[in-house]
Amino acid sequence: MKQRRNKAIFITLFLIPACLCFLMFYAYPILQIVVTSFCKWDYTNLSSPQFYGVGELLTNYKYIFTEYPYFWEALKNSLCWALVGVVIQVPLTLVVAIVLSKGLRFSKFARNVYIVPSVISSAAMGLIFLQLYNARYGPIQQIIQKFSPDFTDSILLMEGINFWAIVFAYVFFCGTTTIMLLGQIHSIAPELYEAGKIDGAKGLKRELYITIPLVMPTIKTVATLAATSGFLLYNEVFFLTNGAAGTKSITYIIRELAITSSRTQYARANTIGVVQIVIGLLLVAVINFAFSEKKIKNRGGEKA
Amino acid sequence: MKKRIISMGLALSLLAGMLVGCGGSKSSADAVSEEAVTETAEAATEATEEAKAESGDKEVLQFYHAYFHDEATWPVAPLMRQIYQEFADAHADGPVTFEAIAVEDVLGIVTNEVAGGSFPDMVDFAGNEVPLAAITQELVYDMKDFIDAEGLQSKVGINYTMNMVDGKLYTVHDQLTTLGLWYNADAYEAAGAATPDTWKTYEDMAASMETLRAGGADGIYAYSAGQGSIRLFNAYIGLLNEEYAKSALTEDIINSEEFATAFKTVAAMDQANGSANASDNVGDFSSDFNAGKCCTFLNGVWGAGGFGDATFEVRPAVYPGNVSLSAPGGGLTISSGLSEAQTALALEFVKYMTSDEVQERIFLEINANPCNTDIDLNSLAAGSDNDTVKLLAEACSLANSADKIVNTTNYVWGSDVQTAIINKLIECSVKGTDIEAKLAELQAELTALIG
Repeated sequence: MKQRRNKAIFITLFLIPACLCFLMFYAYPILQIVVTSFCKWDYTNLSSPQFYGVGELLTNYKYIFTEYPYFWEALKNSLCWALVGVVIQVPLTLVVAIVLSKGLRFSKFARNVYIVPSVISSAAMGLIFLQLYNARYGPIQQIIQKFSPDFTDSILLMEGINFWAIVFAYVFFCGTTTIMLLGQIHSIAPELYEAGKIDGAKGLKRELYITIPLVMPTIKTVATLAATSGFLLYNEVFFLTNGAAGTKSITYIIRELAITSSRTQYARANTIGVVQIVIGLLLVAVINFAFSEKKIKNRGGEKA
Repeated sequence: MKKRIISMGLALSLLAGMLVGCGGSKSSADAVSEEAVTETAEAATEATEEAKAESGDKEVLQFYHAYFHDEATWPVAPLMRQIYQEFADAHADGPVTFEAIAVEDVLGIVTNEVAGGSFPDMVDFAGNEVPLAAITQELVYDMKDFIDAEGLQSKVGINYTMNMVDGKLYTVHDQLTTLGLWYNADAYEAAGAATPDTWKTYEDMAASMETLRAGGADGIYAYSAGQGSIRLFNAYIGLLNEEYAKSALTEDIINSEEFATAFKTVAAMDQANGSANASDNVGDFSSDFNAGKCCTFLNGVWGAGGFGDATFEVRPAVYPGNVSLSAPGGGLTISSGLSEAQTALALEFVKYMTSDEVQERIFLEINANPCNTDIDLNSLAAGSDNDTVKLLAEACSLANSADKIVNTTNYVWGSDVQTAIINKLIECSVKGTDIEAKLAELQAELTALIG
């Protein structure tokens, strides 16, 4: 009895730091964001947010959803970038990881080259792509002009096209997730491949029926990371277009309201923050659902 | 037992470590903004502590400014630091130590402090707006009584009118943000285009731009659009109704005929100029102008020092209709929470920075437009053998004697509004863009933004 009690005390003592950290640095800010989204909190009362009261509780939400001119544009873009992240980054990461796992000649060199851009900050990447897309002397403009000599516009200012220009500035840089996946592939027991070989699993079939199912949990993690980084995109937007021509993102407008606006609209920024948190959770839930073991097993059954 | 003691010790040390780590942490809002200014703040803290140590128990007046660059990066910065140091040396024996601290992100430090309900002792906003939050929370000192008592109205110049908020003067900028334009006189002559000094209307300007495009060599473009365009828009709306650029943006202004006319005119010129030649940072065009590719550089008088590489005649001018843009913007701003001795020294510093002696140095050495209206720029330039000073004097004289000197809207309309207008003008520069539709979008956006 005494031993159990002592064990409980030890467990509690070891849990306290983590719990306190969680409450102070994770739960409290989120709670503060939610609470202040129901307050008036701007340049007039920065040090003392004022609760709107029950009757006007949704004032900020009403403003953001019905009046703020950039919310729907930003939400649409952020969701599209999240989707594009999953659709492009996940297969790309998987293919590159599988190819690198083959141990072909120069694969170590190729792996290192592939990872280098991942250690460059997205802000620096944004600046590099700004030069690449420069309409007066950028190489991409010159390539376009080889095919269309009369083309003189800036692609960063052309609505629709600029969406993809921003996508290309981040979507191919998935070195970190590739390494995650590569590690997982390397941990697959060689016996499984040998057994598969006897059953005729060679070439593409080997990857489809052995490698991919066994690294599925990591693919789910890669998908979650790709979706969230696309959904939270900021630096590329800021450096490439500064939000012009329909390219604002959710994170960009949060900064606009909280920092750029001379009226320091913290409460409205936090209102968008709440929406961002809710949609972020939904995204993770959707990915979890899409990669749920039951669904994958069912799909496997259909194939069989 | 021994193991238990060790485990207990480990658990306690973890807990203690965490508490020490958390000790003194500020609010999450503070933490976010602090991240951006960590490096400069650390440097500032070190400098302050050194100053305190050196000055014993004396009070310290910390003055944050953004002249942190070395001479190679920006030769003006060490000169300004020298001016500040001379003031510090002159008051070294006083009851308060003056400590000028160069930081990269003055606004970050201010935003951080204001969010926490305080304000740095004294800062130089360098033309940026004083945060409304600092004014509404009464964190900044009203200098009007001091300026009046000392008879410094002519020394602070247009600060006295343009920076007056409800009868209070919270900031004095020693240099003015004065804007006209610079042009390549050789390119205009070669193309047969009417030069800016002859432009009476924006149609004249548009015609000149067209002539430059038609008569110029390959790779030559008429003007630097984007950030330059909002300056044109600002000057045009000021020409049509000067009052609009003086007050906060209202729905009446947004929906006025003048607003629509100015926007559509500038947007049409931008579209003809091409989206490749539009950027929200006018500095992007500096090298093109010096290389003779950009014929008209829509930048301020301070640009006078940047044409050393140009192999053609650079001329200053003002906007069509003889309009210039000039505003002090935010400058020297004092905290309202200082002691009497600190406040006295801070006010003395404002007096020093706007004095004839320092203002002459700001013109001759810093190559900026001084706020002091008592000094004669032309006679100062005549006595100088520096070409930059002569060019600056010419640009300042043109701007200061324009028929209309219009306030810059970014200071009174706010930076979010400014970004919205620049973005919309830049979007219009793409071929085939419907300018009327963009105007309607902009009006809706601005109406919502000011709501």
